[in-house]
Parts: sequence; C-alpha cells; structure tokens
Amino acid sequence: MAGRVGAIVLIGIVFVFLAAPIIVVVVFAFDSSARLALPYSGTSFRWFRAAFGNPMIADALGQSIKVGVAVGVLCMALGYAGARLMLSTSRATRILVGAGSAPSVFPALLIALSFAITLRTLGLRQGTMATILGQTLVALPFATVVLVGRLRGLDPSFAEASRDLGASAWRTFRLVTFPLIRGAVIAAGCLAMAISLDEFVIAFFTSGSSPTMPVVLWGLLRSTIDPTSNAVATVILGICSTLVITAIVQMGRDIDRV
Amino acid sequence: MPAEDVKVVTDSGPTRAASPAETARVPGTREDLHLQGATVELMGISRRYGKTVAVDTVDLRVRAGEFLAIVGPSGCGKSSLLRLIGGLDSPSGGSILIDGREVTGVPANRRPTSTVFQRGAVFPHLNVFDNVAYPLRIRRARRGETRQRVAELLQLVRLEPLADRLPSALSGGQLQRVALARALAARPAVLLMDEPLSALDAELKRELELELRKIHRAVGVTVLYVTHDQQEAMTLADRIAVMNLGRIQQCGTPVALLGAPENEFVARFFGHSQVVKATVLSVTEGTTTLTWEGHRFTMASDVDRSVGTVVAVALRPGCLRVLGPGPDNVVRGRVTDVILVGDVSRVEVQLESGTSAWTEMPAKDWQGRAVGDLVGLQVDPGKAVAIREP
Repeated sequence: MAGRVGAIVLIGIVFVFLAAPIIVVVVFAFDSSARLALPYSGTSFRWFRAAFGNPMIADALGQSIKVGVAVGVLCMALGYAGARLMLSTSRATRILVGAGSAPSVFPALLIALSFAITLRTLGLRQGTMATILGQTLVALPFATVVLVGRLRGLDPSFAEASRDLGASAWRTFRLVTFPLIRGAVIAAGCLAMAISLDEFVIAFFTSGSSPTMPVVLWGLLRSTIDPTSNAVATVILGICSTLVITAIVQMGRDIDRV
Repeated sequence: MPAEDVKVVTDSGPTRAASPAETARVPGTREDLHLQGATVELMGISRRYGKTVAVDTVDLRVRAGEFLAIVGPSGCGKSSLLRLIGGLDSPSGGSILIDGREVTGVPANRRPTSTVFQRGAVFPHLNVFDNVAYPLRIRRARRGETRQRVAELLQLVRLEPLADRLPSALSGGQLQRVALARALAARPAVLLMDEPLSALDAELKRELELELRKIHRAVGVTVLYVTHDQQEAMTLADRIAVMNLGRIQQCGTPVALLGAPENEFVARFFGHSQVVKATVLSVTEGTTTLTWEGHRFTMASDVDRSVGTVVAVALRPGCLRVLGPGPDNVVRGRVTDVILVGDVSRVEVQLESGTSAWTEMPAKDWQGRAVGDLVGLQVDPGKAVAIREP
C-alpha cells in the first residue's frame, strides 16, 4: 500500500518536472503583462495578436503547415510501402528497410548538416522542398512503425479473397486493404506532421528564406524575450497536441478481425 | 502424359451433362443460378520451399461438375495444392489446365476459380449484402442485376433476413454461408473450398454439409474440397483424393478406396485398417489362401501372386474375431487394453510373436471379458482386403 502511494507520488513528480516548463510557457502566453514573472496580471490575447500580426510569424505558420502536411502525406505513402516491405519473407529486405530507421536514432544535427551539404553538392536550393525532404527522412521511421504494427495484425486472407474474387491489386488496396487500415494511416500521417511541426534542427539548415515556426521562434528568442515567443510556442504546442490526440484516437478505430 | 487417368480406380463416376435439365436440381432454383462446371487438370504440379517439398509432382483429373474431396493428415500439402489451383501461389513446376486452357501463369484475379477460405475471410467493413455483391461490383455489373443476383444467392444460402448485418454480428456458420454466396457470385467454373467447416462444431458441420450437397446439386459447379475430416468427404464427394507427404496416394470413389486400397497409407489412414504381412499358401480361381502369424485364412481375391510371396493385407476394423485361446487355427495373444469409442470397444492384443494387433467390436459383445485374458484371433475374410501394389 505504501509502495503504491510512493510510486504514484514519484510518477507525479516526474510528470510535473517534465511538464512544468511547458505549463509555465503556456500560462505566461496569456498574461497581459510583459514581465514574465509572477504575480499574474490578467488574461489577455494581446501577445497572440502581436505575434500573428507580424507578417514574418504569420508566414512561418503558413510555411509550417504547408511543410507539415507535405511531410505527413509523404510519410503515409512511403510508410505504407516500407511497412509492406517489412513484412516481406526475405530477410535481406527486412534488414534493409530496418536500416532505414537509422535516421530516427542518429543525432539530428549530423543529419541536418549532412543533408544541407548534400543539397549543396546536388545544386539544390534551400527552401520548402529541401525542408520537406529532410524532415520526411526523420519522420518516416515513426510512420512506418505505426503501419507495420497495423499490417502485422491484419489477416492476409482479406486481400487474398479480394484478388481471388477478381479484383486487381490496386482495387484490392482501395476497396479492402485501405478501409481496414485507414485509422493507422491517418495516425501515421498525423504523427509525421506533428514531428515536422516541432522539428527545429533540419528546418534551421534547410528552410532558408522561408522559415518554419520553430526557426522563427529561435530568431525571436535571440533578440528579445517577450511573451510573443510564448504565444508562438503555445500555438505550436496546440497544433501538435491536437495531431497526436487525433493519431491516438484513429489508431483505435480500425476494425480488427471478425 | 497418358490419356487415361493415372490414379483413378476405374468405376463409373457420375458424368455431368452440359444441359442443366439433366442434373438433379433443387426445385424452385432459377435457371441462371446454374453454373457451367469446368474440368481441371493438374500435370506434374510441384511446390517447393527451399529443401521442403509441399507438393510433389501431382497429377489429377477432375471432371466437369464433379465434387472432389482432397483428404489427408495435417501438413500433407492439400491446402497448398488448392492455393496453387486458385492462383494464390505459383507452382515450382508442372502445369494447371482449366477446361483445357493453361492457367499456370495466370494471376488469381483472372482465373475462373473462387475460393472459400477456412475462416471465411468475409470483409469486416462491409455488410452481408455488400460482401456478396463484391465480385459483381468488381465486374461492374448493373445495379439492378447486382441486387437481383445477391438476393438469389442469399436465398440459396438461407441468409436473406441478414443482408444488412455486419460480419461482427454473425456466427461462424453464418459467416461461412456468406463466404459461399460471395464465391458463387463470381460465377466460377471451379469452386475451391479450404476446410470451410473445420472451425465449426460437429452438429453445425453436419447441417451445413447437407446444405452444401443440395447447393452443389442446384448449381452444378466443379468443386474441389479440402478437408481432414474423412466422414465429411464421404458425405459430400463423388470422388476422394487421399494425400500424404505432398503426393496423391489414391483417387477414387469412397467404395473403391475402402474396397481396393492401393497402398498401406490409404488402407491405414482412410480405411482405418491395420496392415499385416501375410504369405501366400495357395491360389485357386478367385480365392487366395494366406497365412499370418500361423493362422490360415482364405479370401476372395484377384491378387495375382505366386505361392510363397508376401502380400500386404488390410484388416478393416472388426475384421479380427476374438475367440478363446482354445480353438485351432487362431492367432494367440493377450489382451493389453480396451478402449471405448462411442458404442464400440477397441481391443488391443499382444500376440505371442511380440507384435501387437487390434480389433473392434460392439461394446456389448465385450462384456464378460477383461484385460489380461488370453484370446485367439481369427480373420474374417469378408473384411480383409489385399493391397495391390500399383
């Protein structure tokens, strides 16, 4: 009994320790005073208005969403392909695809640097495309994992039955496979988009003159520390949280075996 | 390849005529439910996985409209064989012909076959109607035509009131009926069924077996039916192919398989017989006298063997009569075990020579005796079959 209470207290402390900075940031985004200190002066949206009245920040929001959606879509498609390959009977294939998860454990700075250098070598410019490609590289393994999990639990005889009854491979995917994995696919996309929205290191090296929100936020922090940054951070947090919650809900929606 | 059937015992199987009028029909079935069954020919079909051989050069000829069951123990290759015919797998060698046309390289969705899977594989996200309509929609049938055909098929499998239900709300037996209706909606020339009733309880199985028979008579399609349940095969099939270790051991009517087994496996697995080695003592016209463990018996036999050769003889259950140890010309031994199976007693006997034998008798006939008794066994020639080596 005492052990149980102790465990809960310990977990509570860890959570508070992790969440406290975030909570502080969000709380002070709504504080009408610019002091970033207690006592709290009163709730206000002025910092949000200030932030998104600023064209630089507003553009960055648009850019983040554009890049995020692109990364999400790319990761859904490539993640599905990768997941199918992961279920291959050939060991070589599985090892190869597994190696593709390497970016997720590699130091992001090294990936960003090498990616930037590669771009330069290939003569490609910095900008939206480069950012999308770079972030897909790191987000893809997470999307793949989600889809592998779902595909493993999917009975292969559904697709077989569809083929057997006369459907082509594409129609089988569209009419049978996809409806049965739709939740996982959406979840993979949301997860990839959340990773992209939040991603700083690669975007810093690749976004050039069209920065994403995290990059702009960093710029803001370099000049002045005022609650405008809190507002930007809160928006990023809000969108990411929504995406992650959506992903979790969607994962649970797929109809499993009959 | 020889034109004659290689493994089929010559008997007059049912020949399905092309015209629907000649086949026994379930009254009230619409004309257009009737399907034209196709012939199936397998020539030297093999399937290897590295060193393992799942299917080992199989030759088979299936007649149009025939119901052929493929029976064998687990792992004998029967499901693999079915998948090869359906196109869900490619053979390592050999060719498959349907109605005389080569389909070996043709993908599953373009073969005139439909499969009913072991667990139905009914699409969980579609209701019963949409499941059965699936093959029709794939073939871009008109809406009215689809509706009518689905209704007919649901009527055939007795599921019309459940057309709106989702698979999660259906029982195992109902799911298999949906799977069957769906497979028939594709108008196959050959229907492949992979142990469709094995996941159901015994009573439901018997009920669905009888329904399947009726449906087959009504529809007339060629059926290849894989099962490990021999009773099921005997109820449903015109002919049975017995498989073991990737090869077809024998293919014929149930009567032929029981009465004239071609090898020990068929006698043991299908005929539930024990196989003993007996030596030929004398041969007269139509009968052969043999000796086994010192016991002489004479059976009606057309086995062409000379005196002194050893013949494998299959003793069907109940072939050995159990007498006291006294009489002459019996095989003596001691009862080691008695097992009750249904209303039949299976008696295990250790013979004087050290080998063991068994027999069956109605349970009431065993009363008064016990394990450990000395007995004498006598062969009932009417239940013994000489195995002719092919």
